Amino acid sequence: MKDWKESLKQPAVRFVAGFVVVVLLFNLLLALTWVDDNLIHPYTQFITSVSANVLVLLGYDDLSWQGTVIRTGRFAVDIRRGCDGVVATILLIAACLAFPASWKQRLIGTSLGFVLIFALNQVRIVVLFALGDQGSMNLFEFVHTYVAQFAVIALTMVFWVYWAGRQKPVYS
Amino acid sequence: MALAYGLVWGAFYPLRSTYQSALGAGAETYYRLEGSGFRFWSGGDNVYFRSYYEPIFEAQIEPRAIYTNVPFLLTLVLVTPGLALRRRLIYLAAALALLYLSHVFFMVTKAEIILIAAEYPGAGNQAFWHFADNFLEVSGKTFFPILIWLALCLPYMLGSVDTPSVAVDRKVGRNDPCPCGSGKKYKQCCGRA
Repeated sequence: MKDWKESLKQPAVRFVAGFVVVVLLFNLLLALTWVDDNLIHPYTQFITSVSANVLVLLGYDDLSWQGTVIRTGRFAVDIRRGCDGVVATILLIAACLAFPASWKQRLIGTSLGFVLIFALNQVRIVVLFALGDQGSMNLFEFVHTYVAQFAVIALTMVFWVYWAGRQKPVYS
Repeated sequence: MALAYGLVWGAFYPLRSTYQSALGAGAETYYRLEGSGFRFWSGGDNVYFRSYYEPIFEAQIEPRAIYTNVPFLLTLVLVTPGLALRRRLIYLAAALALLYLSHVFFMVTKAEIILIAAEYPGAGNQAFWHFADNFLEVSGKTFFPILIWLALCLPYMLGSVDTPSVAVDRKVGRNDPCPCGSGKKYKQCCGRA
């Protein structure tokens, strides 16, 4: 019994437990309609407008966007839950908060990671839109389902491993 | 990492229908343990299920997207630096087993959501299964591989996390071997100051 209690105090066990709790808490928040309407939806609209402006800069002159939809005369994408980077952000925040670093370092890790995920997600949306607009639907499906999702999460975790490896763990 | 992911995907792709059938078998086992009866079988990208008993009910589940997690998790375990080959193989097996369990939960959740929507008698608790479904749809596809990877590899990936420096609580004599493991006497090593 004592060994079992002692093992719960192991930093790795505490980290994993903290990670699970934070992810579940964020998912409970996401299940609230108010959070979806007032935070997630406006954020997704902001992502959409940034992506659309990047695409215009890249030469898509006939492009228009409204809400979470970007379209040309040939193709349109709707940026939905799962394509907004929120899941990767939640995983990163949970991993940074659960790690035994100082609060200042946790804040720095979370902020830098958030910027990274936002940038990666922009690349994902722009690349996917370009593929779809060219009519390469098989390639679009492949990249959308199997490559882009993996790339965003994997690079987020690479960032976290790099960040965590530079921290001096703080044990209470 | 990209190369490893491509190779793992290449190896896993021909096995995906076998994995799908195994998921059906796992979900069937869950319902048998629970005392209700459904038969699951695989066809194309879908898994179908049908009740054993009256009222007969039949529906399909599309588990396609969760396949991505198998090569994803295996790649993470493969590319994590600092693991010995034997430990890495043990972790690969453990990771696959845990991910399989999470995918069976995914299948059961999807089945329960279909049963609740159809107002099937004996369908599970609506609030619980809807939250589970929402969680799996939003976070679960990547949450479980990341969680399993962190739980398995974290202590070794970040050695400093799992092995904080051990405080020596006994007095070390000047002529005793140095506790740092150098093999020198304490007075000639860490105790020099």
